[in-house]
Amino acid sequence: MVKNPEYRDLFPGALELMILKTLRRKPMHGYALAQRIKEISDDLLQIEEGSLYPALQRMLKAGWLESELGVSARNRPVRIFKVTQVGRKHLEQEISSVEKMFAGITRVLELAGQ
Amino acid sequence: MGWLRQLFSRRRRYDDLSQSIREHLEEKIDDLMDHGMTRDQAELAARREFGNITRIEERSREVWQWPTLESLWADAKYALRRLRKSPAFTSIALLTLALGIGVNTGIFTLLDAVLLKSLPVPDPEQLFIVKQSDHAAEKSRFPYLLFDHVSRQLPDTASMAAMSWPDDFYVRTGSGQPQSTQGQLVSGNYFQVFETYPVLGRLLTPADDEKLGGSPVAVISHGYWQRQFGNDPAVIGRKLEVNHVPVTIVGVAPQGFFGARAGTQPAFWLPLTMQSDVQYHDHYSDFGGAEPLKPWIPQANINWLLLVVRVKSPAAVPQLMTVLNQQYKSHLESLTQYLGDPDRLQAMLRIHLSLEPGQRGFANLRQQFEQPLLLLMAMAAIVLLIVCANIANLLLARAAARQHALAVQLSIGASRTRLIQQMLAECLLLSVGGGVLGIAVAYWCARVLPRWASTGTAVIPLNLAPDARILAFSVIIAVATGVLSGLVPALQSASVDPASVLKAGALSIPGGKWASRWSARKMLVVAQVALSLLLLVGAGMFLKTLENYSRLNPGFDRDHLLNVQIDTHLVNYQTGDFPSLYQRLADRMEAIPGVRSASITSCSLVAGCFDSSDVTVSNGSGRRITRANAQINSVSLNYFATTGIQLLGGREFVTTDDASSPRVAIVNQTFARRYTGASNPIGLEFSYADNDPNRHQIVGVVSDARVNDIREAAPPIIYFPILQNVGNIDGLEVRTAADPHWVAAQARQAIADVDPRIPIVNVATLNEAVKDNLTQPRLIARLTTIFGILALALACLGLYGVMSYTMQRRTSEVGVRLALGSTRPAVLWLVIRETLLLAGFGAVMGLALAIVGMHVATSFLFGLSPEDPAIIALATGLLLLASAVAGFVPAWRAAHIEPVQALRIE
Repeated sequence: MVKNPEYRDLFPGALELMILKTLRRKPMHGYALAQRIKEISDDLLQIEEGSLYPALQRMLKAGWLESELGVSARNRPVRIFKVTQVGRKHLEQEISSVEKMFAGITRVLELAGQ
Repeated sequence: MGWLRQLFSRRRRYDDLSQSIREHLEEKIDDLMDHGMTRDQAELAARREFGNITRIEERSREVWQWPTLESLWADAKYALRRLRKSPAFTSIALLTLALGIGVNTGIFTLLDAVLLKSLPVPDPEQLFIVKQSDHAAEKSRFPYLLFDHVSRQLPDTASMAAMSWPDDFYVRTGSGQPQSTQGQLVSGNYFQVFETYPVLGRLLTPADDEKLGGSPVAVISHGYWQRQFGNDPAVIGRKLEVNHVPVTIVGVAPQGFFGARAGTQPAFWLPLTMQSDVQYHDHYSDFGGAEPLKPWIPQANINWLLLVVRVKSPAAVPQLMTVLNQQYKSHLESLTQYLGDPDRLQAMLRIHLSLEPGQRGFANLRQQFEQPLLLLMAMAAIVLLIVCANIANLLLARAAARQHALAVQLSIGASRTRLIQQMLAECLLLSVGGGVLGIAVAYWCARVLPRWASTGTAVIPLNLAPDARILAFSVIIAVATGVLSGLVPALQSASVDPASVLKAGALSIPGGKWASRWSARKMLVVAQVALSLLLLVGAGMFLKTLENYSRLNPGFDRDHLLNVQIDTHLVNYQTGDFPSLYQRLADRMEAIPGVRSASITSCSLVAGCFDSSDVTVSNGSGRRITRANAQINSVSLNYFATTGIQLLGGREFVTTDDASSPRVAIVNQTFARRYTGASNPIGLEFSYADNDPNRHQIVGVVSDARVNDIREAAPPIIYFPILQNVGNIDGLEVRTAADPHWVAAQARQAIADVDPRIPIVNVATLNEAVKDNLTQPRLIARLTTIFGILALALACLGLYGVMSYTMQRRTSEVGVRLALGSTRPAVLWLVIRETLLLAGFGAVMGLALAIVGMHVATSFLFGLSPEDPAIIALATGLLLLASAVAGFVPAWRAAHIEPVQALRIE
């Protein structure tokens, strides 16, 4: 049994950011999304696949995502998640604030090194 | 209305969610099977990588909920269902909680009413009481002239009212007999200072102060209007006869208004200017020159008024203080003519005035009841703790029985926090239920206790209306009780290790040897036992105190004495009438068959008479020895023989001690000891004022008697022969051959025969009067006994519960013992011994608690030490006996186990 079933977030909102970014490129169903995130995070994120679902529900509630019926690669009917207009806007804001933060961190590190 | 739509669409959301998760797993399983796993392997792997499905689903669903609220609701429903399933547990828990919480709320209601509540008037924090530096605020009395002078110079934002102490008057409404009724004389602006408004008619106004005796009007209280006039609006304009003086009712005060002294409820208020007309006679006058029989308003040396100030702006306080003290100083200076002694003069001129917060009114009731109320509150809190321990114990037993169910819940994904939450919900439900039921108990307590705490038939009027403080108190106490009793069981049951519980059989004994020997349940029982011993010892000591008081020899013969209290003030006797009146009263009383003797007194025994005076004691040649303060009592010849007070030295009063002979007096032992020390008091002299040529010679010393209150040591007393000190009297002491009750009716008749105009205040035996004195110790003893018995019963219940449970788990052990040849009495003793061990451990802790507790409560004990060994032994014995009885049932059950069956269960 995994001792800590909660995913470890890199920083608050990292998982949401990853989900939004992934789904904006292409709407997906839950399993595909989980696989994709595992791939891109290079297993850096020790997450249980299930941990995605509370996050997805939160984002549905916030109106960043919506779900519709679609078909999986195996031709099964599945619920597909896709990013809404609001979600797109949120993503842009988040990205810019993360970038600002990184710029800040980089500057601090450079200055500290001099 | 978004949340409403959300509520409706939620079901669909949940379905979608479950569906998504199912799809996820299916896709994954297919994927894994493509990689060569069998279906079973793939399913297992998919679930493992997904995580705890139930928890994840639950957490995802919570996103759409108000999670705390909804899980609380679910917990409450679940708890309710579980409680319904075990009615015995639920009813015991509810009943004890109702008692525990109810008693606490009830006593707190009293405490609130007596100690905490502000006067029921607007902005009570603006009120202040004027206090003399040498007296408590409620004993600071002032003449009318001072009030008048200060009032004229007050700052604009301050106003001042004057009032007499509430007193009893004889009031006749319509044609009936006059009834003794409490009333008060107040200045015209009294109601304005308290900012009250009439329910009917008008209140008094400053115009009522203008002319001496010129305003025969009265404002009646709401309660009196209700009782006496049935809320009749036509009451305005009707007449009351107050001490034979007709006054017109002009208004009704609002409901609940009683003035500034909590615990009194004047039925009517008269203008101060009516003092002389209605013969109000309660005053302090330290200096000569007072003429109490003339109207008091113009007299600067009769102190009779209490002053209350309302200060609207704190900025006005300095100016107010200046005015007060300036005026007071010039008032004192005007009195210097009456004081010859320069020391005394200096002391008098040093007296100054200050203000005391008047938000809660005068402190009399608070002083009288603060200690007992705090004691009762502490005991009630102990009872509640015992109740908590009891509930916690019962809950632990239930949790133990549910261990298996809990383990299953945990292993299929319930979180521990959630389980704790569930258990706490159950407790809170119980305690809130108990609290609601407790309202009835609280109501009963708050209504009955004042009756138990009041002397005679008069109940102290208290404002017991629930306020925000009481509400907050009961809510806090109910919740705290719930948490307190539920926390340990909840934590313990949530710490169940599902694997070991599920692996082992239902009858396993988890934990090590220590854990089973000192389980939480046993600790709780020990605590219960300890606290109940504390209450039992308290009950024993308070009962013994009460017994000591009632067996106490008060210094007079209480078994054969009747107090006949009368009020001669209202008859308007002239000084010359008194000697023959005394004679006729005594003669008529002694003519009653069964009466041995009757004696006139100006201060009845144990009846709240506190006439006292300062005197200067000097030796025969006129040299001053000391200054003394003593209670004074003028009595007729056979007073000491009648009351049973012993003559210790010198002589008694004789017939020749009359107005024409030298003035004499007899003092009691305490007077002699305190003021004349080693020297023989007989032959010494004293006078009221330093330059007073009238001296009294001390001719005798009598034994001490507890004349004021059986609980108070005798004060210094001076007795005068009444013929040298004629005036109004307080009544007669009547000594009877048999039970004085039998002559009470004839004694009333005797008074009426002598003069039907004399109002009879009270006819009571001294035993009844003493019993009234003991109301408070009796109340405390009674309540502690009730609490102690309750606590003992709960502790026994706890012991019984723990031992039954322990023995049930040890059934097989007992079976083995019996099979190996142990006898049944040996098993019986084994269990009883274990019960006694628990109780004994509790008793040791309880003894320590009891000794500390009794030392704190020493002021409530009389005639015994706080470590009285007999009572401690008795209480401990009772406790152990009760424990043995509680342990007997499980012991009997264990001793009658059939070994074969017991072993088969395993």
